[in-house]
Amino acid sequence: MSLNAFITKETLDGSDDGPLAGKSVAVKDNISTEGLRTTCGSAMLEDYVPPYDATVVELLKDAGATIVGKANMDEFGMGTTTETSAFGPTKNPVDESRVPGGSSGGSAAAVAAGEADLALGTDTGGSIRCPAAFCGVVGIKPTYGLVSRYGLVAYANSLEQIGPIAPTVEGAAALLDVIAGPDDRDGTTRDAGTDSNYAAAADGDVEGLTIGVPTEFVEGADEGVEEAFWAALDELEAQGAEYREVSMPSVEKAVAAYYVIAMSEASSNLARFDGVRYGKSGGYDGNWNEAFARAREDGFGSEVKRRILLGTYALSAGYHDKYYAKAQDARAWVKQDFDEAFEDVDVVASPTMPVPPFELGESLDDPLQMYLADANTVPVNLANLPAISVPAGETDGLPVGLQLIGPKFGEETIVRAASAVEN
Amino acid sequence: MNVMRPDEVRDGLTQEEALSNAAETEDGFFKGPRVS
Repeated sequence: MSLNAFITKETLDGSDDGPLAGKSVAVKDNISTEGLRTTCGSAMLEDYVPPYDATVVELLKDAGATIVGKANMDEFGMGTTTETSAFGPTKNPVDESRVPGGSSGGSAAAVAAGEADLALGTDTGGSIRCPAAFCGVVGIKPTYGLVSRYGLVAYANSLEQIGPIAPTVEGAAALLDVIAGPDDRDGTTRDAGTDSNYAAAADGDVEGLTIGVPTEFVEGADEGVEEAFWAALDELEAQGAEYREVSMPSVEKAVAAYYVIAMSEASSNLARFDGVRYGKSGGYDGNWNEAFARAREDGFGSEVKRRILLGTYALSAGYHDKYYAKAQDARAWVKQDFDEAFEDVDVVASPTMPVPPFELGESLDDPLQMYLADANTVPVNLANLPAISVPAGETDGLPVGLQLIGPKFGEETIVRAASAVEN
Repeated sequence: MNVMRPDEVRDGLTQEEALSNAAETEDGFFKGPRVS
């Protein structure tokens, strides 16, 4: 049975040699590929064919990679299970009655099932780390500004990054080496990442590494997940690392702040899908407002509509200060808590997801349950930091992910620490 | 004092490429419904 990991299966060849020669790569379907349709998992963009390549796609091709298809995803990245895709859900290759996580569920499932050697995902609030954890593979959310977003269809610009998914830490780091670096077509990129060698950091040497464990990230996690988490930390301790508890009270506000900010940015970004400049028009009669409303009513799924409506509300006159401005304050507080933690420790650890993979259909009727599952991943995006999810055992036969968070542009540190988890 | 470098001309999308996904076009422009 097909996992439905790909929305479009087509091969794009890269150059003859390079660091990724002979490697097949799945590309999440919100990353533009010239001449190959890019749907964002939405009926709105069912027929959209980008006239140019995203910077990361150019870099993949130059590095010799073969792109083997466009990976399934929650519509516009809005989901934690890949079930909001207009092209149907992706199944988890570890257990086909379960979701692969999301929103980069197709990317992680393709890698876990061997349908691609490597994959690109995008992470706005956990969308690389969650599916990596649920499918038992490695995923890296890079520091904001390390990887160019040129050609990425925007959901929430201030939060999102493109990043790698691979079977191993070294493989993910090697793919990050290819896509990292400044791009004059994305003004938020920095000089970091030029001539990087993150793959070389996957040496498993954690002697003297200090790991902070925020109690707020562990409390309330599923029992089996918590057991696997502590077992992984004990294993790192046996290899010479030490861990201690740290307190990050701000993270309890992180999910609320994240959803206000992400939805607000989405409500603005998705205004371009009006059926005239972008998206299916439906050819409706009436004036601009009427035709625009009908096209969007038809083209968007219910989760996307929910987020546009809530985001528009949060930004509207009279409510802006109450929601958006408050969320920005909470964001600054989260950043400050991380800064303080990194004065004492090298990395911060948590279970990537507080729960094992949901059963298919389980969370669709309860969006709040889905949002709360992002509790451990969204603080990282709010603080623009790098984080990796690495497999750390199982609970009832289902994969558990360990999340290691580093300081700004501390990719080498999290790669090194995660590679020790694989030992 | 205002110090700016001279403009650098680069290749961009052609008009045809930029309009390639539009549902309706007219004389090289996007064509949309009337505004009111």
